Amino acid sequence: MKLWQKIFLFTLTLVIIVVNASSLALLSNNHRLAIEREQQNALARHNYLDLEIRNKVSYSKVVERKFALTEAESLQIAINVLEQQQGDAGMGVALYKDRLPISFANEADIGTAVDLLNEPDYSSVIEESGNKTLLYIVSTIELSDRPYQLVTTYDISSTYELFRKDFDQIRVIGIISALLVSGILLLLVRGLLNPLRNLSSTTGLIASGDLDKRATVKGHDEVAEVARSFNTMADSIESNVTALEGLAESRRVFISNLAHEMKTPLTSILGFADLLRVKREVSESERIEYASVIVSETKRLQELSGKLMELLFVGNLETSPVVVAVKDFAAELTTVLEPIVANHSLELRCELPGKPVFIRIDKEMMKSFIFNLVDNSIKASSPQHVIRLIFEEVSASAEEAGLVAAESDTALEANEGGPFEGSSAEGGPFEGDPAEVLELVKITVVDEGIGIPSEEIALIVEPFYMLDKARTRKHGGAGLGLALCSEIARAHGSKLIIKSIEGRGTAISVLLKKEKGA
Amino acid sequence: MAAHILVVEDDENIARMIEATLTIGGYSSKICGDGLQAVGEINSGQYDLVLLDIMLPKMDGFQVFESKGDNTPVIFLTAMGDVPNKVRGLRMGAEDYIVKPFEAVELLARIEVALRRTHRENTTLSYQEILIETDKHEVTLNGKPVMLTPKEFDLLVFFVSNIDIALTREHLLSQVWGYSFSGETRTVDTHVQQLRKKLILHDALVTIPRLGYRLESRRNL
Repeated sequence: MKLWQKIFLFTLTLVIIVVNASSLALLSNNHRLAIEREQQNALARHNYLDLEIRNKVSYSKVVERKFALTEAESLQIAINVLEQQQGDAGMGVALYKDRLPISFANEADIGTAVDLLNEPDYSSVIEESGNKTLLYIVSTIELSDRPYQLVTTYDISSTYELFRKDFDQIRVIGIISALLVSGILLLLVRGLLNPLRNLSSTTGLIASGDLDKRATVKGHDEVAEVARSFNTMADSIESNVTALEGLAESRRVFISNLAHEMKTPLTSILGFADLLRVKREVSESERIEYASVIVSETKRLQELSGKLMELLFVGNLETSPVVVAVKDFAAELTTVLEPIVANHSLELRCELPGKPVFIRIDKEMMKSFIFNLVDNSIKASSPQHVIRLIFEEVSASAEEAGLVAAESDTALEANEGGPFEGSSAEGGPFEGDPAEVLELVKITVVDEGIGIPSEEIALIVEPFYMLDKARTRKHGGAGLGLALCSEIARAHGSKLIIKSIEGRGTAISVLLKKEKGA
Repeated sequence: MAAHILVVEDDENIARMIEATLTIGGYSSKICGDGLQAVGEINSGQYDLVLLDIMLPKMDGFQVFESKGDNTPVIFLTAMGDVPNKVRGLRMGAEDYIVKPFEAVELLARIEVALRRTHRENTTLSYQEILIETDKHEVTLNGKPVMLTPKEFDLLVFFVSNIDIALTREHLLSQVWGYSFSGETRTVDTHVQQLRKKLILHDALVTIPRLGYRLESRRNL
């Protein structure tokens, strides 16, 4: 049974019982009072008759100057009195002696009330005879010291008739009011429970996937409260689901890009290997050409899988930071990087701060970070260009430095008056007061290469994003370098700051907190 | 007269691989690295077929297809193997849609089917004293007709179209019989025996151990 049905039936039953019971009580009380009034009235008339007989007897004694009347004389007087009553409608009188009727007026038949005659004094009873309701009053009257019973009967049918009529009327009124009440109740209960029904259907819609549906909130009652908190819950579910969908979507894009990046080298490898297998005669130069492509494309796949593994590790592994002197770290880097840079007819310049400075880094990760940036710079540069690796001390508030977990990719202008316009930053976690001024070390890799178009700076850290596919591929790139750098910066609680001008060069920096020293 | 094919592919290595594959199939080819240039090349009308990559610089393959003026048949050649892209390509009116990576023989077979469908390929094939009329389904050896079953005929056409290329039994099964599984390789062997007997190809149609068969251009006498 539904809630509205329960409330409706329960209330309706209650209302009908209360209304009917109270009107019945009122009716029967009125009826009782009416009967009592009739009884008093009847008694008064009975007593008057009784007195009349006694008075007539006393009067006769005075007139006849007798000390006492005979029984017959007294009886005659009484009978005369009774006969005077003849014709008074609604009242009958009778005189009994020893249970036998002596005289009647107006058909005062004792009928079934005969037992009353045995009563010593007054008594009255209401009897139904045929379609009439009669009130009998019996009293003993002494005529010449002999006991007689004076009986009066009153027809009180009209009182009963009235009661019956009223009762019928109340029944009709009861039924009508019950119908009326049930109609009003129905509207009222359903109206009150309507928000609940609305809430329930909204819940159903949300459960079936319509996440943007909301319950309507009206007024301030309990249902509205439930609806409001339900909406709050739906909001958080929706935002969670949207976030999950976004995650799934970016994962899907990543996998689809990965599949594409793997298929390209695989196509060359499979194609050339198949040629080597099915061709009848392969010349020496063809064999070398085919095999070289297979080798270089295999290396590309290797590079791709290597970068993927790194990306995965940086994302999942805890960093193991140690405090190192910037000077030592820079020396370690340049030893490895200088020959590589020189191989491409480029020059590497390392700039260090004047005094000893220390930073807390995961050395292997940060090395990979610098290698990737320098690698990108090499790819972007032409011979005789200079690549600069700059370590400098800066102070900025955590907020300015972008060390706070950024809510949006806000552009950052830290390098005032610098040649680079357009910048983008990736958020990273940082605990502390955003306004606190921090002593920082900024590591920047600057090149004089082809640069990045300003509208693409925001996209450049996306995995597999390549500015120039042909150029990237020629250098064996997979489009994962900056995505990896961004992850490494994030693991160090910082983010990438990218500034670039197309045709003039690129500067990519990361800000790290300065340490006290080992 | 061998067909001239335009290869639109931005990855240098893949382009070279396709070129080498086309060469052994007896086709001449030209490589084109971006979409814009490809449209001009196609519209010059000198190509019998275009192999078109979809992810191209400047203009993607679908755009190239829509911009080209003439009705040169096109085969899409792409890493995008998802069904919506395939359907899109074929709906546009491409002859075929080949998903990377692919094997050399598969590419040749698909090219041949596309060329034959567009009637740009000769209906008469010849191999030494054997003359094949593909439209009439007739084979003659030294001018005398030879009776071949339909499958033997298809197998012969496939061999003659891929001279000097080693064909695996699996390949023959999928290209001639249309099976995509490799359980029935015995069928291939019996049909090859029949071809050798009927057309006296015992020396030319050689067995390559652990691989399959090859029809050679010169008899190793």
